[in-house]
Amino acid sequence: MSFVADERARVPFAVVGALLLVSASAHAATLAGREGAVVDRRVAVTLDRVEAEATAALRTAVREAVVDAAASPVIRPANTTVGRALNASSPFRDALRLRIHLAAKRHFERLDRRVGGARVAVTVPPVGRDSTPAVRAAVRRVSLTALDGGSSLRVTLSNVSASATRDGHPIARKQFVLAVTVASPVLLVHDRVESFANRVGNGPTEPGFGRGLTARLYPLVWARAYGQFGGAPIGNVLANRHVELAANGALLAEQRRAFGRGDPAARHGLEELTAAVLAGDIVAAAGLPPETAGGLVEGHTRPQPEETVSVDVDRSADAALLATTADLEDILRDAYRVAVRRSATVRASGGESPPAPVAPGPGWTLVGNRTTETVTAGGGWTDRTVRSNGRRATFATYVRDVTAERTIRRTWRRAGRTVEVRQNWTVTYRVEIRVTGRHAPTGDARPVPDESAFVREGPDGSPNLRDVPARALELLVDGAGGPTALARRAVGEDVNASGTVFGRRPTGLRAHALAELARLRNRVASVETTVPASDLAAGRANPAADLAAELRERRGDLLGRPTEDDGVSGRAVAAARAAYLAAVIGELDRRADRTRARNGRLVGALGNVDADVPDVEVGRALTPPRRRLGTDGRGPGGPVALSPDGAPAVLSRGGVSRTGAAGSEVPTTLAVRNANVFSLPTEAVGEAVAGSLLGSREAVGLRVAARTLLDSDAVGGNATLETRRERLASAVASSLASLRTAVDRALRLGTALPEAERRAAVDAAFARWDGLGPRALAATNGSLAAAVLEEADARADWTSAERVPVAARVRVALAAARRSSAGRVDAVLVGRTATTARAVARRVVADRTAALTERAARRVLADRWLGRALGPVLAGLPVAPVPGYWYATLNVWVVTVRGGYERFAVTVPGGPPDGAGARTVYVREESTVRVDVDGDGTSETLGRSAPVWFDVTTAVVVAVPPSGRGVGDVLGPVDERSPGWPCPDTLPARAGNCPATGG
Amino acid sequence: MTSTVLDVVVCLLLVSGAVVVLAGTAPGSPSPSAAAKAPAVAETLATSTATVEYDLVPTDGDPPTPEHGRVAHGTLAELLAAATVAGVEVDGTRATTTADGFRAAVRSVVAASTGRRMQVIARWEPYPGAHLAGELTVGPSPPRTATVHAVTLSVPARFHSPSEEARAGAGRDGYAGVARVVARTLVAGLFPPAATRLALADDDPLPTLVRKRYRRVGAAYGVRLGTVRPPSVTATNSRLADAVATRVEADLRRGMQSPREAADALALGKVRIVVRTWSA
Repeated sequence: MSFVADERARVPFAVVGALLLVSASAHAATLAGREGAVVDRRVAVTLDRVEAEATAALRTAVREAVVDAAASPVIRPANTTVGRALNASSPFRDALRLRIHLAAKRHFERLDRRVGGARVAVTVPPVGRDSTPAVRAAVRRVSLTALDGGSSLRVTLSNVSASATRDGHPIARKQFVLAVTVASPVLLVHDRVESFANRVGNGPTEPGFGRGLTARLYPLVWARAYGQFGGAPIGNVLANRHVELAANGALLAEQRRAFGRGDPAARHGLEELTAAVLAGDIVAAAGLPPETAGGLVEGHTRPQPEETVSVDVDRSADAALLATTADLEDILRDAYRVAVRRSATVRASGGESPPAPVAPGPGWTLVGNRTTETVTAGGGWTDRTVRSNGRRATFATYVRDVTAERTIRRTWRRAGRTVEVRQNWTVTYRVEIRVTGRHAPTGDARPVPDESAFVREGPDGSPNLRDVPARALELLVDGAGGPTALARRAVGEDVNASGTVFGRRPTGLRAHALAELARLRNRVASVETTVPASDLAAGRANPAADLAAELRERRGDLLGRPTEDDGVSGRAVAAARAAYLAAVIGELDRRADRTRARNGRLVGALGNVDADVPDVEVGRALTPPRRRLGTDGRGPGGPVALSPDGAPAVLSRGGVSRTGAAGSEVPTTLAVRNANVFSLPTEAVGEAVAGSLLGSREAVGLRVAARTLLDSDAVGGNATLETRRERLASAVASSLASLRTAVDRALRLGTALPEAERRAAVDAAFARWDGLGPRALAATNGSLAAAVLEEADARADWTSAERVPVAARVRVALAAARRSSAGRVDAVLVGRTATTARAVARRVVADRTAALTERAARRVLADRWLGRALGPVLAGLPVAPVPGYWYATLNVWVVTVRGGYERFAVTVPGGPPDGAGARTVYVREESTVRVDVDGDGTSETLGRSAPVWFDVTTAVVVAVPPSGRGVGDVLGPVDERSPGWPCPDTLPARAGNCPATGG
Repeated sequence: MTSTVLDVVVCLLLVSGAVVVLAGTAPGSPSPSAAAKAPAVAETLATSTATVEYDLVPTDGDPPTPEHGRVAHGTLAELLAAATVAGVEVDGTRATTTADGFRAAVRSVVAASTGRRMQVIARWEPYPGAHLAGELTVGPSPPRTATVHAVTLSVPARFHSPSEEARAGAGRDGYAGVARVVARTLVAGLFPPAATRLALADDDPLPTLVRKRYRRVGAAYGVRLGTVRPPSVTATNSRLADAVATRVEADLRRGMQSPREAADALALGKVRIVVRTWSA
């Protein structure tokens, strides 16, 4: 059997091949089984790649969230489940974080993909709206950091996971934290707008809008106040149109400060507004050069609060003159005072010693003795020449020889017997008696340097003290029994003595002194000090104290340096002058004390006006705005330029637009109230404050009453007005009567005019003014006093030296009478008359202006008749410790502005094209911010955005020099309110007491 | 004998089969250099950031002013996506040239960051077969003979992704429902209402640019939109959306099997970026 043929145990090749194939297939199947591992690798790669894609998605999400958050920023979180998750101190940031979380979640959902049979997804934990902590957790997963000076935003999102699932079973999972930096200045913009909104809401005490408004109102008011004071036809010093202008100027400045530049539309609108308001009234009326007008609004030019008021000594000089004149006799006499002295020198010149006792015999005892003497004087010499004796002068020297003959009787005793023994002896003396004197004036006169004044006449031919030696001898020698008797007495006793002798004053001395005092009074009265009117208005200045200091400093200059050659009369007059100056200074010191007290009351009263009276300096504290703001350009987005854009660009009081199409209505975005506090003598508030300032609630000065009477005279008939005017007139008449009595008394005390002539003079003076009003006014402005003096002088023919003290006396008497209760007038009478007169006048003006154009209306205002009716109406508060020292009139405007932007947007260009200009726009307006937090298709309320608004009250104080007109609003409402008051359309609901108005 | 021959032959056949089976199963080994390049570039595009300075192109060929200057910052992929969408064409006609400066700047930035022998094609197409699309190509096309490796990544576009609403619309109104949702989303992306309102209320040149875009897009759809003002943005957008919806509906009816399929095929929110690399 061949091998080939043998088929036992033979395995066919095909079987081997089949086995190979099977095992190959098995192996292939094994290899195919490794396919799962390959899929796993792809999933892992996908998970890696998906992280990069998630980062890109987060960037997009951040960009979207930023746009949305900027378009409706959360300023106040809502009291909802979602709203409470936002931190109340940083709701904008927290809302942005939440938005980023939600946007990221949305974008991650798009990254879902299938790899092989697996599903790869990127997820962040869902946000449930049911619980505040859940939302809070979502917020916390996002962190925000501003980088590169705020030009970019770094966002970190934690708890992101990428997972792969197959058939719902997780097969791989990865968790990571994503961080991206996006070029978006949204945090910077938000912070800037917040700072802007805060500053816009600030009142005058803090930096910001209130202060800027005040700084702009000050120059406006001062310019117009001085315009009115200077006679320009300004009836309403501060009108609401001015406040509108100032408020918009201040807002634009705040924009520049916060954003580096202002809204161009606002700038443009403000220019138009400025032109419209200023061109017509401030410039024309106050005489300002037109180019300053723009500066006033921009806050660059502010010259007016540097205005000064001059205050002079004036009335104090009169009062002091009266006092000095009364004391003049004493002052002059004291200058002639000489202290005199008598002194004696006794020297023994010879004679015997007293005899020794000699007993009559032994055993005698001396029991007593008694001496008697007989003194006789005679001989010697007398010298009555005035001689120098050091600082004293010797008027006379008397030398006498005095002989004393003495007898002594001694009594001796022995055994009951007594015997008297007599002995005589003689002693001689030389006695010198000298009378000396020293010029010893009391008061301010200086003593003469040597004895020559007792001998020679003065340089002016006056007798000096030449009569003094004789009078001294008469007093000290002749009056004491003569020199011999004195010499005799001098031996036994002390005859030294002293006394005072006044030199006889020359007849012309008093007149001369009076003339000198009058000259000095005129010089002193014209000494003045200038104080900034703003200080005066704010109760910070004390001109009287300044004047006193000024006089103290100029004392030497005013009194002149006396020479040693002056005679006693010169010294006496100098003493009178010095006494006068001291009296003036004393008077000023008392005035300064009163001013201090008044300043205190003024500050208190201004505080009661319910406004912070800001420092006038605030205007100068405004810092110039930076021109450009932003980062240095190192950030990824390049430099940031913020463009503010308010809607409306210029806030308006409403009514008809001045700049837009004729007659187009503009919404009220600004409500203004400006109240003139001292529109005396009418308004209650003015009365209250004036009352507390003047120390009386019931009475006003005659001047106010006289003004009111005059002004009401100028306004035509009205029954009510007539009645009130009559009552006021009788009150003024009785005040005048008390003044007349006072003047008459002053003339009686101060002059020697007979009663009939005195009466005639006063009557003639009072008769110079026709009518009560002019007469009363004359009594308050000094012309009545002048008239009385002229009339009296015509009858008495005084010298100038005589006239000045009388004038002082009359002026002082009038001032005193005016502030006495009899001289003042019931404030209620004055107030009623003025109110009625003003109402009538206003109707007249309204009637007359209704048919006229504005320009013509302004001419009407300047018209004499109306000017008389309206121009000189006194307004303002006279600043005076007592009415006699009126040196300024001040007034206060309390200004309240409320309003805001309907929408305030800040735009930052940058970013890729988006079809709308590639910008981020941050918008502040009244709106509710809603976001779909839980993804159910309906939005939840996060909170509210808020418009930029303000409600600011400030005050402007102005002071003008004293004069008839004063300063204040005399035409137009005293409490002026704009149409939108108190709630403009754009004020948010919660502001003030306004009902809900905004969106 | 014949059976032995047959056996051997069968064996050899079986062995060959086994070889084929194994050979067919064993993983191949691709050329690593060319294949690794494309993902690396894609990674670069997705992660590296760049700052692009550009000018909005003024209307009427005026030279740009500083008011037109913009700076954009983002990853290269984001910039590519933004440039792609910004160059949207309707029926092959560009809807706006305002962003041409941006597109050119992005192109050069991307070219500088990638390198030779590669091409980046970014394409946005709201749905397959749409009459409007945006595309941006950086780099030359590969030679016909070269072996090309490609990686695709998708980047969010600034259009929303309305898949849910579209599916609901499909269930309710069929093609028309989907088309309405798509058109609304498209118009809202082309003219975002809030930003457009703000831009129209702004100072020039923005209102001019926006109005010009409205005019061009309106013309492409045969709608006269007039002068758009801030308050009329919503009304204008909805008029435009109606015109767009008609075109979209036609597209969908032509290219899709069912409204449901159309809703599923929407890709408004994505820009696809294809990176192609090749070896010499």
